Amino acid sequence: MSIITITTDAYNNGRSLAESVAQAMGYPCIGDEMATLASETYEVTESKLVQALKTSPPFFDRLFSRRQRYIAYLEAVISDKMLCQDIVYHGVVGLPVIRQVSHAFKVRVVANIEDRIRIFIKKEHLSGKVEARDRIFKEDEDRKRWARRIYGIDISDSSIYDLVVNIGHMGAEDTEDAVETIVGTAKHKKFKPMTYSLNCMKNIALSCKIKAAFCQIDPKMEVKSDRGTVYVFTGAFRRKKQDQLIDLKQQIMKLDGVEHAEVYVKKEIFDSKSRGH
Amino acid sequence: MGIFEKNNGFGREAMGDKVNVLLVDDEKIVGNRLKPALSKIGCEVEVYGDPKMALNRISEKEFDIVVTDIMMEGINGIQILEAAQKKSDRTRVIVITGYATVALAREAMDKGAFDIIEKPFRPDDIRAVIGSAAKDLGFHGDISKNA
Repeated sequence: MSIITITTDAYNNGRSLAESVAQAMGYPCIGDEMATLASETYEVTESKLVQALKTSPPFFDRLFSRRQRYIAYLEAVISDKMLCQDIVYHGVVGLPVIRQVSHAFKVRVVANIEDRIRIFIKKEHLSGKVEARDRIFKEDEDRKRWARRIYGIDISDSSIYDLVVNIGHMGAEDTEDAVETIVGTAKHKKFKPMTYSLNCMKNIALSCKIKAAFCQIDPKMEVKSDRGTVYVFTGAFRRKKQDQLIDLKQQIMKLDGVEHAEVYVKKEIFDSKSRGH
Repeated sequence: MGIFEKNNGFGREAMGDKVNVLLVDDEKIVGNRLKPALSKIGCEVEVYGDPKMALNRISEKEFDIVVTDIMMEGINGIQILEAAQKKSDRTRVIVITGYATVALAREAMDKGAFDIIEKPFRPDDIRAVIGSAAKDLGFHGDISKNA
């Protein structure tokens, strides 16, 4: 299943460009609507999921655990889509999760500020260019802070993408050239799915599904999967509470795609220090 | 005749009934296990533990399928892949590796690999990939039912 991810800044017609790429490839395009799907699947209010994506968490965020939980839900639905069909994905959530998938073609699209100001003014019915510019810069900074805090990545760092396209150099509102470039590169054989990369995606989707199912117990839970064998690392239980670990293991084993599960207790730094380890 | 039957309707030269497979891996156990597993489904398998000998053989004979490890002493799997592609672009090359990375996977695909499988794998996994490669070459037979 082919995957094209398109990351854009706000107000540069990113979604419409992603849709054009999807149409040219004959794939569906997904993005913001994944919040609706996650909301239905995991019975969480959609506005809470959207909020978790839009606002940048402060350093001491008392709701950080809840935010991680919502992101786990989103990653689960997005990775499932990526596993099941050829897809164009417009967004940032889950990007670091699929970094080991060689058939995921990661694109970043940037535009010049003048074009973005024009789009912003039209969309928000503003007249002042300075205000528009300030608000665009603030939004860019918020998005960067969000990605840094959640994933520890700089979304403007070109080294995390396979292709960076500057539509500002291709004509003001004309995205045709950009679409052609993206589609042409996406068809390159090095982005072709293969057994290894499809297995990677399968492992990731299963890990995300398990994390989403049990993140209420521990939003910081780490899950790794390898062809049906699942390794869970959690700090939610104390080592001595074997019954809780066994119970979690049994619940995981009931999920589709799980052949075997191992649950490990993560050593908490504060816990170790307090014991003088 | 094995489970593969050659379809000569594609204008290719008849190469016999069996799928000719060259397997190169310096871990002898891989060859020892895969040879009988692939022979059982109609492949004629030549196994090489020394990649230099495998390269020599590739220069002599056009194989339907080459299965190669990547990390080997002296000659790596990418060189085997390039040699097999140079000999014939008809040859399907399957890369098996215990050290798969995004960069390696993309390099191998870029150089024409048919597929890449990460070690350790189950015999069914390699049989399924060999089956796809054989089908791609015009051989008939449902490998999954016979594996």
